[in-house]
Amino acid sequence: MHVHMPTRRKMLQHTAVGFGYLALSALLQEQAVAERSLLNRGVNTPANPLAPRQPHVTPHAKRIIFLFMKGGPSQVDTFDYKPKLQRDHGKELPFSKPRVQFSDTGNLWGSPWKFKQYGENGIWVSELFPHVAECVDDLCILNSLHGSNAAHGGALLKLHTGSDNFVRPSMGSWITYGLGSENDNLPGFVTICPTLAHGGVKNWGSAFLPAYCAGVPLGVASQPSSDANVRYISNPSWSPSGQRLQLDMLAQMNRTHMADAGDQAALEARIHSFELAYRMQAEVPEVQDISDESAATLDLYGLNDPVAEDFGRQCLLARRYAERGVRFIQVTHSDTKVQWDQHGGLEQGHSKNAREVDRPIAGLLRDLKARGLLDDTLVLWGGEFGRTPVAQGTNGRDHNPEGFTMWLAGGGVRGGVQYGATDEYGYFAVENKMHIHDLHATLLYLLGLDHERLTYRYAGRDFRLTDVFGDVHRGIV
Amino acid sequence: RLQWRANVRRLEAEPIRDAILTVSGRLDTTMGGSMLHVKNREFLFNHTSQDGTKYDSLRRSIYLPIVRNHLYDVFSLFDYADASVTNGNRPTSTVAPQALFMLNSQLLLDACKALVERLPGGDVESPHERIRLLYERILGRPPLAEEVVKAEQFLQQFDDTLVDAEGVNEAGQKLHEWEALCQILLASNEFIYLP
Repeated sequence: MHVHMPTRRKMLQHTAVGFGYLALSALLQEQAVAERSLLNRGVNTPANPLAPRQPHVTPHAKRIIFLFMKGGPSQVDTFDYKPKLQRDHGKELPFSKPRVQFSDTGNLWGSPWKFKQYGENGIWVSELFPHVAECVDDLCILNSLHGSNAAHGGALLKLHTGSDNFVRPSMGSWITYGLGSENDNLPGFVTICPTLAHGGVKNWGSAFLPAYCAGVPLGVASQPSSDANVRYISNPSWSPSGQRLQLDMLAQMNRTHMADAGDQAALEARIHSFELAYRMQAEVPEVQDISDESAATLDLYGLNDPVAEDFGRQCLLARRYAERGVRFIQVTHSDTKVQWDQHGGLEQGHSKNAREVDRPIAGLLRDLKARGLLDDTLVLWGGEFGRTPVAQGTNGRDHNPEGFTMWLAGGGVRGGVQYGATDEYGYFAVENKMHIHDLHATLLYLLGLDHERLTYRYAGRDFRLTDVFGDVHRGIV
Repeated sequence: RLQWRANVRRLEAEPIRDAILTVSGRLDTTMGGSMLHVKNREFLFNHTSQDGTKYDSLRRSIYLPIVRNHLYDVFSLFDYADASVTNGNRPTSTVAPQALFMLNSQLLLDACKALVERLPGGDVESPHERIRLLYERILGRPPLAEEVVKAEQFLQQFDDTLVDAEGVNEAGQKLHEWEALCQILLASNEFIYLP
């Protein structure tokens, strides 16, 4: 004979009497309603907090693919041609270097690479990026980026979260928070082979934003992209039908428990989270399985080239997630050495890196265009800062956050354009200067979000990605 | 007086792991000592994304290393406090990756295996008795009559899905469906939320 021992909760439920508790229950009811309304902002419910939300204004783009070149690629060797730098090679920099530098540097050092003109507007691109150069008519090259931190840690955090000294939600989290996701079965923010260095998980974390906004990492930079997958996505022991039985019984148990514990949003959300997990288990492997791609596509991304294969797969996965409605997909180029951070060995290092990414990036752009996705997909390329036009040591360049280059493609930006400029040597941004905050404001604008209205109340004030900064650069549209 | 209407509280990250290890009898209760086996500057200081930290110990969660840049993923999954700031505030989130962890992680599957191994032999005790023991061990209470019925139904149906798997012998299968049942109890809201 089994006796059902009552929980404390149940006992109190059955014995509570008196007017005091009536008043209290009204108070608690209000709190429960407030809790519910937090979940029910707009159209989302505990069942689906990721439901797509309307942006503030008409968007140009619906999603972003961020190709992150960790370490800081040198602009004067890639997309910011400086003929005066070539001519004055070896001379001293005629103006003052920044007050805060990362290391000591020497004199001007011309680019070891040749530049050629491409596209309808004759844009100069170095020989490091022959494939991407062919796509220059789709690129909006931003030559006037500048940041405020000369060290990797701070610079990565600044680029990814908007702050180099506080813990803040990442770009992708803000965007997921603002727009939801177009796919019920996938996360809104995915980061492919992210680096764990210099901020690590904070670069895709959600900080104080709701947890569903956090990025889901696939693999990690130190492992091949063929191993990249969502953690715990498959069960080594049970079949899907076995798991279905488990989930059904679990849902029953949880509903009975909820009847006792009271209708709590958190408990209901948990029941739904298992259903979403089950759907993710089915959908993620399908996205990861690239065997349904044509041979031509695999070749386009460079998967037949052993040097470009790893990054090529990352770019291909990015496209696959993009076409399934994921809002923010980050692809990180970061090997286990120093990536683009060539304090020495610039020629060797940048050559190797460019070789690994050039073909896949061009492949991604062409593929997105062919599938009609480029119009509403924004592609952002760049690193956390650039490099100095003056030499470090005999064959390197130091960090340079004062002026560097990133480029955008798709998502309504003007193609075949160079926006903004650095000084004649490529050191400081001088024309149409775009701070990291401005970049964030502009990205949000392109997605239809007003960076000043996308806020979240936490610890007594309204936070936003751009904090109290940021100007939108509408000139690029 | 207030408790019957109070919001339920979910266990934090460390008690979740500790509870799973404890009920399955796998918790190593050794106290003291350091779990940091990697030299100081090798915790992700440099550019590489190699993490040398190991989290496969069975000791209490309080002994596991906390690496700010790359927190143990089970902890960050269950809202461990941000190790870079001085306040210990933790939100309580409910997201699908947590459910994935409950459904598929080795921590859970190993715990279920251990739980089933500790049950008295199947041919001596009746299924009812075993179900009662599992409920008491995991949820701290005996099952209701209808819960026993549901559990038996589940065991039968799950067994049917295993019949199709190749290379699994009778004895192996029998243990598997009990493991699957344990997993449901460990994944339930009742296990993870304080009453």
